[in-house]
This record gives sequence, structure tokens and C-alpha cells, in this order.
Amino acid sequence: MTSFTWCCSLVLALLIFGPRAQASLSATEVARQSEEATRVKGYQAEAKLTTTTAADKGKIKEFKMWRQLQADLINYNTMTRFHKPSSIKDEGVLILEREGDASDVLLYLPRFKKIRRVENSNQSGSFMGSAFSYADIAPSHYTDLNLKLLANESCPVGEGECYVLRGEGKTPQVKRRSGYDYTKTWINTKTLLTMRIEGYSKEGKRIRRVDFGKYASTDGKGGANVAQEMSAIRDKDGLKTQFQILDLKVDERIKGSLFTRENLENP
Amino acid sequence: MNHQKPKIARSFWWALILGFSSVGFLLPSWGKAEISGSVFLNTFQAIQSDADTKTLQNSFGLWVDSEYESDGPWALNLSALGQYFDPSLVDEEGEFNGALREGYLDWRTSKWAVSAGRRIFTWGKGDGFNPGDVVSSFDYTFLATDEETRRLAPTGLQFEYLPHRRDVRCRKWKKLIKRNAAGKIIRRLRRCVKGHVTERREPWSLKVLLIPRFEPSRVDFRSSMLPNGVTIGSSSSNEDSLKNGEVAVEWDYRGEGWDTSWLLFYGREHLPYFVEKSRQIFSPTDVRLRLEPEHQQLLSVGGDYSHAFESVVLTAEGVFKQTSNSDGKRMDRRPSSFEAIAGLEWGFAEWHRIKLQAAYTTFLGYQSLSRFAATDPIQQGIARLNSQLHGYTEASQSNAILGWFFDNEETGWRANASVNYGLNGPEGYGEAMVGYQWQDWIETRMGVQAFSGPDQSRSELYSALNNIYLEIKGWF
Repeated sequence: MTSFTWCCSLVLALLIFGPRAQASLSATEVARQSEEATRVKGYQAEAKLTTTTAADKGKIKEFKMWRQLQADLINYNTMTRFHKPSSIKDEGVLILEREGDASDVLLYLPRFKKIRRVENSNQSGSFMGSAFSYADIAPSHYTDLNLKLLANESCPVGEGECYVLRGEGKTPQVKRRSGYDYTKTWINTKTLLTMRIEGYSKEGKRIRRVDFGKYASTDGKGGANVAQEMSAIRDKDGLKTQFQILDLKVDERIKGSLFTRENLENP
Repeated sequence: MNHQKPKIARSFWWALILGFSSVGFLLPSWGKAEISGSVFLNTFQAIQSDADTKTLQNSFGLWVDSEYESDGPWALNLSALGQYFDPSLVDEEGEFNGALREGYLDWRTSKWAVSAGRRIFTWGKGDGFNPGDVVSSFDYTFLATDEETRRLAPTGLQFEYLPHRRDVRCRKWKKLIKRNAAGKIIRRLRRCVKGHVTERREPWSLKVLLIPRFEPSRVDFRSSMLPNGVTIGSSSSNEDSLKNGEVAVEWDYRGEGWDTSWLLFYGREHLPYFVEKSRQIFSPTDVRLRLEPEHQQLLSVGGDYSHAFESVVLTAEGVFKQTSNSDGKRMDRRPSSFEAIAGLEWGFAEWHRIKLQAAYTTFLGYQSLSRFAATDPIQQGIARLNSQLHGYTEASQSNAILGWFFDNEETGWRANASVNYGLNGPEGYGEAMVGYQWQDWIETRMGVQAFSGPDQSRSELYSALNNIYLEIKGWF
């Protein structure tokens, strides 16, 4: 076979099998790979929430957050400790994700020196007065969702083509915790990074939209990525919040003792 | 009355500012130093038509917190509170109180934590009624919009044990192949890459608290609130001695979606009993009586529990308290008791929460005060005062507590209302508050606090302090 024939065969093979190989990814596989692309074993970061309403130019809350991947390589432990404004200084939120999407959410209120639990159904409520919910901070994983690939279309945020996935909680508990009957997720076909998530009610009304931007590789070599900016819009009242990660430090040896009640009540 | 609240001069403010700042300079190698706090101005007006004064309390206060965190396991926490009252609840004149509210050194590793110094310890899951909160003491000599600001810290040593990992899981494996001399694979192994280990902690922890000298709660009365000829002296029972020491052991266990803790406490009841120290009778209408506060021994064993269900959170707390009056024969002391509270809390419409609780207390071997009628009327009066103060006016008490909390962080409005109603009789406590946070750093709130109850009930004693208040608070 001549080299010309080889080249033609290769191009043909790529044309036939290449796109099919991409298209043949199941919705679950896309979601799994997308989670893998952002899987960081542990990190700590300074973060900022800027919430704006029609009347208010912006309320800023600053906090430190720590995240650690659990041994199942799916769920995370997340600890946040607020330090600005002073009126909420030392307030903490500990989210311990559990199998079956039933996270333990514990709030530490320094004024009372007490920890308060947040019931599952209330985890769809506002996270510290922002347009994000607790469930957006610790979102459902692909293992908790029935996923369906709806389409391939231009990404609504950033450039390129996106898979559009429809995800529906496998159980009523998953739906109640997230506050969404189903979600639509746009995932970049090349990078497999999530670009947008929209949550919908049973009636098909959009509840919230979260856009992801400024992904940065945690090792600078194209390793796992963390979104440095997220913005959420709550449709019912137009509340907008920008979540910025200002100073990210990957810490794969992050201590498990950070994610305990004892640490939560010891700011 | 010579209450034990330290009175410090105006130089307190300077000492506070210079002291907190200098600690930062003294510890230059420490990683982080933060100073924050709040300033507040409030007024409490009596709402009883027969109150002896219209203004119960005007006060101005400064609260400063500072934290110094080392790069290692050490941290130093200081919190000071200075308040000026005019009039004061106890003196009817201006009074300044300043104190180091908390000041402790903390040493923390992943397995052990030790803290030494003045530190507030809270316990229990109940709201509005915490029978297990026996480690804390309170300052009732001033009115506050927030009950928590009245907590007093004992000086002590706390050891905390956070047990070692139960098992270890690896997140990244390295393949190892063993070959023989001929290069043939004889064994395939795998080893966890260093640093890729996930800890799984034991779900329990243990705390031991040693307090060399108990911190008494402060209760005081204006001279106008006492009958003519009655004076109250200072306590002599909280001297440095082993019998005034306290020990508490707390064991916590965390499940998935629930947690429980159990507490054993041996020490003193922090709320005082008033006892007669001297009596001079000049005529049937001229009696000079001197009372002193005392604190009886207390052994307390109890547990608490909280569980997050799908749409509600269950909280419960129960304690058995054994006092030195375990047979109930003394009328001037609280008998041993069993106290419990259980409740459900749920959130709705994003910013609202409701908590409904039921509380029950029963005194063992309780004898009615009416059986005391034939004895000395002065002793009977003292026993009545103590029973009102400590709430053992009946053999058992049942209460229903309903609270509503609203906190809209978007608009800055917040409000709450709660009612604690005694099911034995028409007795209870209610409070309501509405507040508005103008900016992140300033808030105005106004509210009402009121007790209501029949004669000689606990609520009747406190009803003299029923008030409506206004407060402006700022944070820095």
C-alpha cells in the first residue's frame, strides 16, 4: 500500500470513527469524565461572595474554604470559615457529603457557640444569603443522577462545543436536597469542563443558573481543574452572586481533622 | 451588695487597646493576628406600670476579640468586654464593668487539643431551656438583648482527645513488580503513594475539663428591691480550695445525619442560694438581716441528641441532677431533679424557621413550701426567694416553647418571637424582636422581654424587669 493510500485510510478512519467515538460517550460517561477533570484531592482557598440585587450594589462576604476528596473518590468534605464582614466573623459551614446525596450540613454560630444542623430539604436554601444554595456548593454527583444526553451545541459560556446533559435525581431525596426536579448541564466536549448548570422545577420553570468561568489547572500542567469564578442567578428575584476563588493552594495532604465538628466549633 | 463583678477604671480601655496590640508585637513570629469586635448602645424601659423606675438600664459597651495564630499548633484567643450602665440594675447609679471575658491558649494537633485559661463552655441542644448547660455561669446583673452575652467563663484546663484514624484509605496506588534473578515476574504488589492517604477518623471524641475554682453566676438586687433592713453580703464559698473545684467529662459521637453527646459534671450549682448569716431584732418592725450567697454541690449526668431528617431537625436533651438536698427535706435548697427538653425545628420559605419544644422537670422527694408555714417566717421568706430564683416552686413543671425566627440576609430584616408557656399554670416568658441591618457593619433592633406569672412564682420574681428595648450595634 502506498503512503498516499495509508494517509487516505487514516483520514477516513478518523472521519468515521473519531466523531463516533466522541458521540458514543454515554451521558453518564461524560458526567463521570467531567467530574474526573475537576477532581482535586484537597485544596484550601480564600474565596469571596459578591451578591447584588436591583437595590443593592453588592454585599461582599469573604471566607476561607478547605476541600478534601473522600476515600470513595466521589464525595467531598467542605469547610468554610467566614471572616468578613465582622458581623458574621467566625461563622462556619461544614458540609460532609455522603453516599446517596444526603449531605450533613452543620452551621457554627459563634454568637451562641453552638452548632446547628440543616435538614436535607432546607439545603436547597440560600448559602449565606447568596444566590447559591448549600446544594450548589456541594452538588449532586453523577452517581446520584439519571443522566440523558440531550444535544451537542455551542457552549453558552466560553468557546467551543458543549454536551447538553439532563440530570434527574435518582430518588425524591436527591431532588428535595437540590431543590431541582432536573438540571441541564453544559459540558465542553474538548475539555470536559462544566460551563453552565441550570436547575428546573417540575413545571419546567428555571430556578437558578450557575455559570463557570476561569478554570485553572491545579498543577499548571493540565491536571485537574478548579473553576476560579462562578456566578449564580436566581430567577425568582434576579439575585446575582459571584463566587471568586482568590488564592488557591492545592494541598493533597490536607488533614482530615479540619473537617470535624471539633474544628468547626474552634474558629 | 458587694457583688463580685470586677470594677475597673477608665484606664481599662487603654489597657485593653495597648494590651491587645502589644501581644501582636510580642509574638512577631506568629502567623496571623486579628482584632475585631462590636460597639453597642442600648436602652431598656420598664413596661410594668408599678415599676419603681421607668428606665431600667441605659448602657454603652465595647467588645473586643483578638486571635493570634502561630504557624504551628498554638493559638491565643482574647476577648474583653467593657460596659457602662447608667443607671445600673444593682446600684441605681452609673457603673462601669470591664473584664477579660475569655483568654485562653489553645494547642491543637490532629489527635489532641489542650486549652488553658478563661473559656466559655456551652452544652446542650435545647433553645431557651438548657438543663444540661451546667458548666456555664451567667451574669444576671445587667439586661441584655442577647442572653449569650451574659455567659461567664471559668478559668480551667480542657483536654480533648480526637481518636486516631479507624482505617486508612489510599487515593493513589503505585504498582510494584518483584522479579527473580532471571527477570521473571514472581509477584505483583501495590503500595500507597506517600501523601495520598485519606484518614477516616473515629466518630467519637472525648473532652475532660478541670476547673480549679468554680465561677459563680452573678445575681444582684437593687437596695430598693429588698425589704428594709435586708442586706446581701459577698459569697464566702468560692475560695481557693479543692472542694470548690469542678470536673466535667464530655463524650461525643457522630453518626451519619445525627450526633449525640453525654456529659458528666461534678461541681457546684452556679446560681446562688441566699442564706441567713446574721439577724438582729430591735423591734417587731426593725429587723436587720444579712444574707449571703452560697452554692451547693451538684452531680449532673445527661445526654443530648440531634438528628436531621428530610424536612425537620430533632433535638433532645435530658439530665439528672443530684443536689445535696437529695431527699427534698430542705426547703431552701433545690431538690434533686430530672429535666428534659425535646423539640422539632424546621425551615420554610427560605428565611423562616420554627422550633417547637416540650420541656419537663420533676423534683425528687419534693415537699411543698406550704409545709414550711409553721417555721420561722424569715427562713420561710428566704426559702421562697430561693425557690423562685431556682424554679422549684412546684413538684413538677411542664412547658411548651414555641419560637419563630426570620433572618433575611438579602434585605437585612430579621425578627424573632418566642413564648415559653408553663402548662401547670398561667406562667411564662415571651420575647419578640425586630431588627434591621443597615449595612454590613451596623444594625438597629428593638424588642420586648416579658415574664408573667402568679404571686410567688419564678416569673413573678423576674417580672420587675419586663422591658421594651432599643439597641444600635456596630461591628468592626
